[in-house]
Amino acid sequence: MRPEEMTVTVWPRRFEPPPVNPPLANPASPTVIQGFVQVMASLSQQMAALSKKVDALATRTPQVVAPAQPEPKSPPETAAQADEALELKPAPRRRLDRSKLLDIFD
Amino acid sequence: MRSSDWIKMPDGRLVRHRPDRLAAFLADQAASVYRRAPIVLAPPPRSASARDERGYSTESLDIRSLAGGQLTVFGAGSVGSHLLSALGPAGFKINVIDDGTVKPRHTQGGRTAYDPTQVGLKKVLALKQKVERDHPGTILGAYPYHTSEIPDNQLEIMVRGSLAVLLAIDDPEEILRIADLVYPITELVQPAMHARGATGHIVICFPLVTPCLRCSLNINEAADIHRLDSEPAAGLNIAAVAQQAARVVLDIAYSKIAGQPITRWDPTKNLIFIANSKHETSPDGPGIHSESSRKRPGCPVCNSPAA
Repeated sequence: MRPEEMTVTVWPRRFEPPPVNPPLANPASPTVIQGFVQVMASLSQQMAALSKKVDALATRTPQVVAPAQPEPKSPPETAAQADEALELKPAPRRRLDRSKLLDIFD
Repeated sequence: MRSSDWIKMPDGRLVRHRPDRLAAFLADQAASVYRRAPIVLAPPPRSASARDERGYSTESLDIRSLAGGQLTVFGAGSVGSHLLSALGPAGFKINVIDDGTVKPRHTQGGRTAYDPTQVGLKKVLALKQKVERDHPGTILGAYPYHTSEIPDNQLEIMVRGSLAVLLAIDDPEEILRIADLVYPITELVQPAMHARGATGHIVICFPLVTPCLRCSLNINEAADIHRLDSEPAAGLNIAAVAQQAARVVLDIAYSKIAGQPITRWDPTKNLIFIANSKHETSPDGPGIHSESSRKRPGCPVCNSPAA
């Protein structure tokens, strides 16, 4: 029996040396090119599906949609929300009626 | 011959200069022993009108700088007495003109600044007692006369030296006479209370710059002003308007003394309306509303050209 065969046979599995990362594939290897081709094919399929959706949206006839009913507002949580809910706006500045300034006492 | 070796005497003779080596040595030693601290020149005084990094303005008003300034106040009634009490800490010299006498009803409910011990006294003398006692340094010139007793030329002399004139009287004829007279001379501040003291106003006239009192109130004659006698009003409401008027006067006086611009309020808005409770100008509660006024075309007081 050759020594390596002995090793495999004798060592329990838990004592196996840690796996070594496989060497990087050669970028120009047929496997890499094949993967690239697959990815590009998948992308082109997705693009075709999207363009079909866009065409469908562009050519659809407009539909009259009833306005959505506003949802009932939940009670405001902060002062700012409360102000917003009350629609508080600064009161418009009013000019004084100067004839009302003429009844005076000292 | 070097010129430094010879000294010209008063009679014209030239005397050879012989330096005394011992005296020179001692002088040199003394110079090192009594070495004086280097003289550091003080920074040049800043222009009073320059706004430097300390941000001088009427908002940084230093009330001590107003001491000795002169004011003239017409009227020592409810507004006038509260006004003078508020102005007391500034240490002004104040001319006060009023011929009234303190009566028991004046001392009730804080309507005036007088107290019951002063009933029967002339108002101006009672005020002099009170303000000069409470604020040492403040001087009240008490004039127990009706304003109509003082002729125009005398009034003019009085107001010409004043930083500002306060018009806290309710006689319509006299209000307009004094306002017209003061307008070209110095700053005029006219505080007044309206019915039941719910509101009040302060008109501020800067000589020849802002409109006169007539234009600010949009009136032509004294009959347009109605005088409310014995009007019930809360003392605090009267004091609130008087306090605002006093603050305006302090700003004007500080601006004139220190040469600083008035920044606490907009001086172009010369009508200040004070609401002591909810009002259409301040719907949420008490508030202050400022408005500008316009010189009416052809007004003889403002000297504005006719349309």
